Amino acid sequence: MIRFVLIQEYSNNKNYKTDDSELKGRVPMESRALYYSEIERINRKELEELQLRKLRATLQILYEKNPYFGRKLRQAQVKPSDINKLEDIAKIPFTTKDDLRINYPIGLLNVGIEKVVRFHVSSGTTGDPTVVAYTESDVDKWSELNARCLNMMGVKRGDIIQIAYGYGLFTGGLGIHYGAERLGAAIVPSSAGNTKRQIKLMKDMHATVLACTPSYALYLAEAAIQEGLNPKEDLSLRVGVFGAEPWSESVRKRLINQLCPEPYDIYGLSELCGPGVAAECPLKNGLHVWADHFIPEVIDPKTGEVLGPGEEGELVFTTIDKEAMPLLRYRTRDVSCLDIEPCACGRTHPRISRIKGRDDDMLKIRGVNVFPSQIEYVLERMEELGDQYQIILTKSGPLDDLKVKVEVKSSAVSDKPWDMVELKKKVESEIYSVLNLHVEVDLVEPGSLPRSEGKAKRVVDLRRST
Amino acid sequence: MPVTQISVFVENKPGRFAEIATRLEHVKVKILAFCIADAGDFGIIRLIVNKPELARKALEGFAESIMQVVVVPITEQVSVSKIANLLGSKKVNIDYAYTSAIPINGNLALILRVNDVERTEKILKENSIEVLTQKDFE
Ligand SMILES: [Zn+2]
Repeated sequence: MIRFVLIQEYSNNKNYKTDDSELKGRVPMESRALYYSEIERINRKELEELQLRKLRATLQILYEKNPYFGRKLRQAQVKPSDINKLEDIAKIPFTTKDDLRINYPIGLLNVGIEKVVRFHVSSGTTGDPTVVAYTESDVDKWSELNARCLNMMGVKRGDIIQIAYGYGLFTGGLGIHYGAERLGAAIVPSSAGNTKRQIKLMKDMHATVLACTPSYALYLAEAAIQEGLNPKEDLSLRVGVFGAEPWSESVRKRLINQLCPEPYDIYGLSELCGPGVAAECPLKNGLHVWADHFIPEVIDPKTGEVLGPGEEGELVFTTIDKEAMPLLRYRTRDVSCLDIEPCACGRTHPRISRIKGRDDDMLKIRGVNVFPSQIEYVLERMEELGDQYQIILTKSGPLDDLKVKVEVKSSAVSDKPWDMVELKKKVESEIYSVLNLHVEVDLVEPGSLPRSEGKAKRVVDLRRST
Repeated sequence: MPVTQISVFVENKPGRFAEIATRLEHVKVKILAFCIADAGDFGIIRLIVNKPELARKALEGFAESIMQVVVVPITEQVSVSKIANLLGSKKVNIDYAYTSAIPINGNLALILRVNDVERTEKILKENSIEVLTQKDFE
């Protein structure tokens, strides 16, 4: 009953209603989302009408007022009046990271500076930053989307959520923070880093929800175990809000075994707003994209052609409810596929499959798709290893093969070579648990791998020369 | 007082030991004993030197670590067999052993890697067997 009252409070505020009749018996009681906003269950036809209306309005504004997008649209000979059905979105030219760089810092700003209340800046892996601006309404809607995500994961008033994403220029910390505040959960804004303090806070405050990157969550679990704790007994974590990097089902299993029973994937992109673009519902069968704010598409990255549901390709988003910096058909470079079937949780918003990595880095090894970032996450977590590594592609017979060279640190050195062989095997098995592929690991001396300015050249292709 | 052994991680390719030896020579550190243990693509070079701290500075950039070993001079009276039999009878397990490259204070020495350095040294001394300390190398 108390829970219901708490829900009422939220529903008075934001038109939420309780309705879990359809969920009974389908998902575990504890993780069941107890209420939805009307918009989460809007019928498909209405949702599509809403999307079309908002898309046309966004296009109209950009066409008339935004010099850069206006010019781009005219060059592509697309007028707002050409968009008469949702499929017509394919006529609109793509936006890429390069468009953002050309317009650095705020060339794409679509409102006067007096309407802007916030900037976030993403460093980007290549070192060129991109700036994203928010109006008051943008921040409000972003908070709402994160509240929806957290609610969907079963986070509620009375929960204590420790937010260990970085606060600051990065969108992760503040994005989840505003969502949790909107929902009415009690926030411990611990930000990233200081692992010992994170563990102490989680324990002392009896945090029930942890929000951080999945790799940091694994690291926290290991660090807690090393301190003599049993995270599953000594901590009170129930829900994990893990995002900002791709992670696999094997990592989910490890998180369940070591840290918390309900780890959820949350997706976002700083260019779109930050976290809260999509998240998993308790069925964990893809991430619901909040389609009243974003139109998701999956395209063939080579031809730009729109792919059908279930076909794997590059994710593309159009923001249809943003003021400060709307983006048309923004190419994320993330690989996923779309599922438009209704979800048993009752939400009608389409789902994207979990992100595997960046399509431009994807390697195909013995029939398995491998993203260098997956290997990077494993190596970064292991303290015995240095920052430098290299992925080497070779050919063994007709098949492509892959090898990882990684520098060791002094702390890893033992007088017995056998210990070092054990370390090598440990790295190989960690990589196996993420990729499901045996990859040979070579430990090399510090300083032996080539350094380069900016983005290090991590992948070396030796397939042609052998 | 046990002796410091430096373990240096090296890739199995030509010139790595030369690089280490040259760097030590440059700072006038003397290698008293060494032993290379390999494990395929890489190996560990174990070193006993007269000035371990100076040596570690000279080896900056290498991945290395230190640990303590027991060093016993081999003489007419104290043979390798005598040392090994004594420790065996006292259930001290020797993980590995090697001998010095040059005489130390007139004798070649046996370097012993054991689990319990303190206990091993105690057993040896109780049986009137000399144990060297880092100071003996200066
Ligand atoms: Zn669902």
